[in-house]
Amino acid sequence: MLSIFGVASTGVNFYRSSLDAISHNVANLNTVRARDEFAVQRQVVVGSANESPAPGIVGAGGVVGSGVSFRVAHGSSTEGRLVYDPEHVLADETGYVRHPDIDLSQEMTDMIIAQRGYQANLAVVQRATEAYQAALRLGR
Amino acid sequence: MDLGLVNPAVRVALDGLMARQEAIAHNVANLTTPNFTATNVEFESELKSALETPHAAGVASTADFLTTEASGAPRQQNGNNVSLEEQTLLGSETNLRLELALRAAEGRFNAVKNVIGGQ
Repeated sequence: MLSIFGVASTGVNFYRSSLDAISHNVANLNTVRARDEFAVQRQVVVGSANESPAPGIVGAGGVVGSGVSFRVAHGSSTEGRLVYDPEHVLADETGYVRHPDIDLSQEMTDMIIAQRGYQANLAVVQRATEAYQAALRLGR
Repeated sequence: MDLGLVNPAVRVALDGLMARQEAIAHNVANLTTPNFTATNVEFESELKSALETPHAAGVASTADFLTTEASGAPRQQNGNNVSLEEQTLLGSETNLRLELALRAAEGRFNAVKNVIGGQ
């Protein structure tokens, strides 16, 4: 009962977490570290499908899965990119600093995907609301 | 207590359509999951043949009619084959069918209510 909301909310959560990770990446686009430190790592949210059913709906010919679960992983190395910038306060005697290996255009396209995915899952919530409301009118 | 107020076929249709909505929710939640295959819920053809069979034992349980099948739609580069347009259209259609099935159930409800009211 009402399990569509649960399934759709896993999708909404997944895309919101993706947006969180993207905002973290963009905020750290210019976070420079010294050469002997680790670079800031890009975060990515990796989703995988829940193949086990939501309680309630199991048919003779298989089950309907119950949404998506996710984990946060690193999308770039601690190596980062070495940039020659001898004026920088963190530059060592060779003049190099370590930039994170984050690509702004990649983050922006990922952001559009995450935003649209979020909206699509909210549209599912909206449609489920309509369906349940129609069912609640039964017998009035 | 089952008053037999809802036609068994309508009951199966309501459960099947709700299962289809849930499958759509599952597919949309996995819109960008790598190597994900979309699931479709099918029950109409099974239900139709059960209703057409003469001397059938009748419509028993919804679970006998529900089957899920993997979508054969073409895959994107990351191995995912969910089409958002298709899922949105299917979702809207399923909602309309659900409304139709509920209306079919409602007719019987209203008739019984009138009898109880004595008018």
